This record gives sequence, structure tokens and C-alpha cells, in this order.
Amino acid sequence: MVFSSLEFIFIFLPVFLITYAAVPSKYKNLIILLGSVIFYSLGVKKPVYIVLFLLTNMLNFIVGQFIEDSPKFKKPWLAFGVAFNFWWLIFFKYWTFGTENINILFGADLPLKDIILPIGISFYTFQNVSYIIDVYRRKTPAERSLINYGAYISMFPQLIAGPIVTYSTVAKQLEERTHNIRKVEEGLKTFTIGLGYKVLIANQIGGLWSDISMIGYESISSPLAWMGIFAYSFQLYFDFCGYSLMAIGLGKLMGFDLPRNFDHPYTSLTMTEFWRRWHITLGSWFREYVYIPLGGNRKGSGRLVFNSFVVWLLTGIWHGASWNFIIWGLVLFAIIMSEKFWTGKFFNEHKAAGHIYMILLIPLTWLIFSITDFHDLSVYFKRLLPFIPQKTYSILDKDYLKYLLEYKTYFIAGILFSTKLPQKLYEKYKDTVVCSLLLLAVFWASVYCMYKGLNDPFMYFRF
Amino acid sequence: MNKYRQCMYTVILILTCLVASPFIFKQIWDTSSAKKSKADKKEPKVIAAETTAPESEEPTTEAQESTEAQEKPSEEATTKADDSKNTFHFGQSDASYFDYALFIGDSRTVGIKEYGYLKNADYFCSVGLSAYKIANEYVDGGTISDKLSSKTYGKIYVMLGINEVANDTEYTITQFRSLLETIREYQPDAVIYLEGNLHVTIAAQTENITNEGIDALNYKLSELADENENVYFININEVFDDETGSLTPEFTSDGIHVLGKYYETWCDWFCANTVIYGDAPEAETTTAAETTAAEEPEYTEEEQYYDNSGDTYESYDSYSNDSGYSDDGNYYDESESYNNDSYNNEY
Repeated sequence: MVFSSLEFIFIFLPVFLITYAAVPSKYKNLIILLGSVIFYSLGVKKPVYIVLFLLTNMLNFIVGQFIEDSPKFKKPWLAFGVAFNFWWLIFFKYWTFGTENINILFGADLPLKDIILPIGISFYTFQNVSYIIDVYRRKTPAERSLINYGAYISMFPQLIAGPIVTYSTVAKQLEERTHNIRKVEEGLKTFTIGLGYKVLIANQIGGLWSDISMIGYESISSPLAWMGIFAYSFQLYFDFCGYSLMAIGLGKLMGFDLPRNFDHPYTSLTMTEFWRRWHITLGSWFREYVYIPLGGNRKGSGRLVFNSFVVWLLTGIWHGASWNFIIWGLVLFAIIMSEKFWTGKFFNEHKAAGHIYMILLIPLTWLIFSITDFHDLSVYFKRLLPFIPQKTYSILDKDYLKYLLEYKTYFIAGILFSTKLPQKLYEKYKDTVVCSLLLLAVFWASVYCMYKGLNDPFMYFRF
Repeated sequence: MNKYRQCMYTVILILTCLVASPFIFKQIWDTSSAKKSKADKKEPKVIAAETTAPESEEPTTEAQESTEAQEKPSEEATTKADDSKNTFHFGQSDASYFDYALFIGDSRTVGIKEYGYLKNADYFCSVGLSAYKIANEYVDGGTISDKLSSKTYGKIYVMLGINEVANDTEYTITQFRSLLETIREYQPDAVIYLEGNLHVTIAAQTENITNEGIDALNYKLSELADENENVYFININEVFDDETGSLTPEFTSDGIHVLGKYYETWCDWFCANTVIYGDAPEAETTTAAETTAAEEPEYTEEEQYYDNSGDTYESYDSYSNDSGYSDDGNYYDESESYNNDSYNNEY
């Protein structure tokens, strides 16, 4: 079940919230747990995945206690816990990819299994691992209530596509949090903004990317090819950022303050800055649990390059089990390293240059992210650069004008809402009648689109 | 006052939700029950005979001829001989054949218009168009009647139906009938080609759009062509089908439309499948045995259809092999919502 569906907004959410509000404080976490398991069950493809999900969480809960209770054996317990968590992630996400490549590399003939990824596994695995590591490091005490732990991991707002909330950020809130009308108001507003991002911008501008795939990359003009990667960049951002905002808004309705996941990434001056503003919780996870344990930047430049390499390689494959994601991660690594040692200072000092650099470079990296097939990818790159000799096919004359007219509203909205201006205005006027009426219009426009069936699933759902 | 302001959005949101909830619940209910009843609904079975994958993207005239060549039933032929359909065969014409042609269709025809090479033809097509909608639809500022009265067309190609394939076929056919009437009113002498809807890939099938449903509609369209004077049924699926009778995945990325570069193939196929009056010339027939059959004047889609189930033809003859009546359709999302609506309205 996705947040931007009529079933979620008009059936699941009201029923859940009424129940949640009606029960006394000490049962609220239980209601979160039960509601979230129902939510998960509605989205998952195989019933056995629900069992896997519950058992995994329970095991991490137990491992966390063992680590705290028996300091002598805490290392083996941690190793066991981490191995257990990653085993399932690797099995479900990378098994097919791994066997394929072993077959190619060694000419082996290992059987390929068609494995369906359990929904949310990339996210809950990272949360479970962060929890046991934090307990190991004594950053947080182990959770003693299975219900609280279950509520933390499974909490439906963040279960399926983040933000990746670490246990230590919400530990206190699990014990005690306040519910008041201001939070509800704030939560509903945030949810509405996220819904609008998703339904009114991402889904709409995403149509251009689908149109281009439908036409085939061979048959698009160069201006249209460039429009396509801009459209895809907007789609990806408003889709994922919208989802995160909806999650934060829903969290607020339950009294939680979930961490922010996006901070106007497209206004960055360098790729380094971009990745501090994009999917913030994932970046901090890698920094906290990979980069710093490896020594971070404290062991000399050589080690820094190596550590960054590991982080970006992992970031790449976290996003998907396919070579293009690995290439994508390595390209980001190369860009970020060159900024670190060479270009970064220049772009930070010359803002205009920095913006132009990012406006061109970010969509290009998303292109590698989006196209899994290398042949298609090379065709698309050649279309972007028409001076490279290439085989040409029939192209619709002035196709870019056709699509520019069709999508201009969404491009304008995309550009506008990528800047910091709307948020500044929102902060200033959020308690006014006008703001409430505007948000109401956004909400009903989104519902209208869903009603008309113009909606499509979250791109990040394959995680 | 300030306190009231703090929860203003919550209050108005909840109030409007309460007002709207009956409609929303009805929509949710209708969507889920439409899904259910569609699953129960019996689709007319059409045999999906095996076809050899069309490695040759170009439809070969020879294949076409040989199909006709095998049309056997001379009795049936004579009974139909006094039909106003005079002796004709499908054969090759050059692109100038389309000088006075009009293409009517949905998104797939939009593809032919934009990426095909038949730029000399006229087009009346838009994404999401259907036989149900066409009477009231404005395309490029005019209705279908405006277009039909603008000049005299020699040939009119119609490819509609994918957007309404989930609806009752009989109902859709009545929509096609009235479309044919409209066309005839303005263009009494034009040759009308009813095109079978293009299949979708296996992966792209949904509750609403299945190749079985497409075949059922295409079959009805072929019957409709038979019933009417100077109306012919042609079926593109012989070109783009794979061995399962679905759109071949290599030709498409969304599973519903062929890629831009394949519209050239499609246009080649249009050129190779034009109605030519008179017997098929000898030169085009491939084997001696077929010569007699090729002289067989009558050739109806119906016969071809039945022949298909026999399926004894040679490899490239996917036309006859494939039970195949496929139709061209439109934009997918729109089609779904449209289907839901009209399904509910009509039934």
C-alpha cells in the first residue's frame, strides 16, 4: 500500500489514527506495531516475508540485549547479528546478480533463481544493524521492551522507503512523547506537501521520462534527450522527497520527530554538498557505520581515498543489484574525490559556476542511475552529444517543442520547488488562512489525480 | 482566535474529507469490485496458435500471398462472390498510395504519424482515443466529422479499441458501427481498413488489458469488416508478435507501444498490405500449387481466421497462424481509468 493511494488516505490512515488516539498512552506503541504489521502485510508479495520481517526484528532485539548483558561475548554477538542481517539482504537483493556474474566469469552454470525482494528490506536491515552497533558502542542502552523495539523498526511511515531512522534518535520518543494539536496540524501540513510533491509534480513530470522510453532512445532529438534527464531528475527528487515528507508528517501525527531526509539538494554547488543534502539519513548511516570505523579522513590521504571508495561502492550497490549502480557509485566517487583535491574550492568560491556545474552534472549521474542496460545507456549518451557520430533513426521534427509545451508547467513547478524559496515562504506564512487554503487545494488536487487513476507507484519501491 | 488558527488546517481538512468520503468510498469500492467482476467475466476464447517468431521484421508479400493461396473453400467463395466485395488481394503499393489516406487512431497511430514515414497522409489521432469517445473528441481543433468533410479520402485506416478492450466487446462493436456509419456518410467511396489492435507484451497485461481480450475484439472487428462493403480487416500482429502471440519485448519498452524506430517497419507493412482489386498476379505467388488458390477470388478474414486454427502454414505466415486480431491502443494509464469509468457507466 502506498501513501498516495485512496485506500491508504481514506481507509487505513483514519482507522489507524482513531484507534491510536483512543487507546491510553501505554498501549500506543502496541497500536503502532500492530498497525504497521497490517500495513506491511498489505504490501508484501509473499506471506513468508512477514514472518521473516518479524523474526529478524525479534532476533535483533535479543542480540541487542545479549550484547549489553554479556560484555565478554559482545563481539561475537555483534558479528553474528551483523552477519545475520546482511545475509538476508545479500540473499534477496544480490543473489541473482552474483550468480549471473559468476556464471559469466567462470563459465559456470549455476541455477538462477527468480527472487522477489521483500519490500523495505534495504531499509529495515540498515536500521537493525545500526541498533546493534549502537548498543555495542554503548551509544544507547538496549531496548527492553519488544513492543517498543517492534514499533521502532516497523513504524509504517518510514518502513518502506525511509528515512532511515536510527534507534538512538527516537529512543527517548519511544518511551515518552507528547501529542498535541499543533503537532497534528504540522503533521497534516507536511503530509500534504509531500503528497503534492509526489502526485502533482513527480508523477506528472515522470510522464516525460516514460514517453521517452516509449519512443526509444534512438529516436529522440538532442534537446529532448536533455529535457528527459532533467525531467527524470525532478521526478526522482519529488518522488523520494515527497515520500520522506509524507513519512515525517505521519510521524508527527503519532508524536514522533523523524529526521529530515532532503535539504534542497539541487541548490548545491558541488557533488560533495549534494550528497550531504540528498537522502541525508543514508549518507549519515554510511558515514557513521562504514566511513568513520574505517578511519575516515584521519589516516592520511591514501586511506581517505580508499575509505571513500568503499563508501561509494556500497552506496552504489545499495541502490540496486546491477552494474550500472556500481558504475554510478564509482562515478560519484571520482567526482567527489576530484572536488576534494582539485575543483571543490573553485566551485564553492564561484557560485554561478558551481550551480551550472551541478545543473549539468547531476542529471548525467542520474542517467547512469536510471538506465540499467549499457547499450541503451550509450545510445542515450550519444543522443545527448549529437556531434558524436551515430546511427540515426526517424526523429519527430521539433519533438522537444511538443514535449516542452506539454510539460512546461511541471518543469516550472520543479524548478521553483527545488529552490529554498517555497520553504521560506511556508515557514513565514504557515499559520495563515491563505496557507491552509492553498494546502487544502493541493490535497484535493492530489486526491483528484488519484481518483482519476493518474497515479503510479513510488520509484523507490523496488528497494 | 490564535488557538483556533493553530488547528485550522486540521479542521477544514477533516470537514472536507467527511463531505467527500461517500464519493471516495464509492470509487474505492467500484474499482475493487470492477476488478473482481472482470476476473469472473468470461472472455471469449480465441486460440493462440503458435507462430514462428517474425525474425524478418519486414512482412513479406510472399507470405501474405501464400496465406491467400491456401484459402481453400471454393463453395464458400462462390456464395460470397456476389458480395459487393469484388475480387481483390493484398499487395504492395508505394508510399504515394497514402496521398489521400486518413489514419484514425489512438496513441499507437500517433506513433505512426510521428515516427512513420507516411507523411503524405492525414491523421486524426490522439492519445486515449477510442471508438466510444471519438464522436465528441476534438483533435487539432476539429472533430472527426470536420476532418471527414474536409476533403475526399481514398483510404481510411482505423485503429482503435485498446482503450476500451476491457469493456463488453459487443458494446464496443456498436461504437465501431456508428463510427463506420459516420465515415460512410462523408466518404461513401473510401476504402476502409479496420486494423486489428496491436498486442501487448505478456508483462504488460493487466486485468483490463489482455491479449485474449484484444484477440476477441479483433475477431469481432474482422467480422465487422466482412459485414460491410469495402471494409477490410488487416492485422499488424503478424509483424510484431512473438511465439506466444504477444508483442515481442524487444520491440517495445512499455509493452504497449512499439519503439519509434519500428514504425518504419509498420509503414512498410502498410505499403505491403494494400487492397488491390483483381486477382493476385502470378508473379507474386510463391509455389505452383498455390497458383490455383491464388486465383481464388474470395478471401475473407473469417476464412482466414478458421484456417488459423488449422495452422499448417510455413514459417513467415504469422498472419494466418496467429489467431490474431490485434488492435491498436492508446495510452495506458488513461485507458485504465477510462475503462473503469465506462465500465461502471455502462453496466
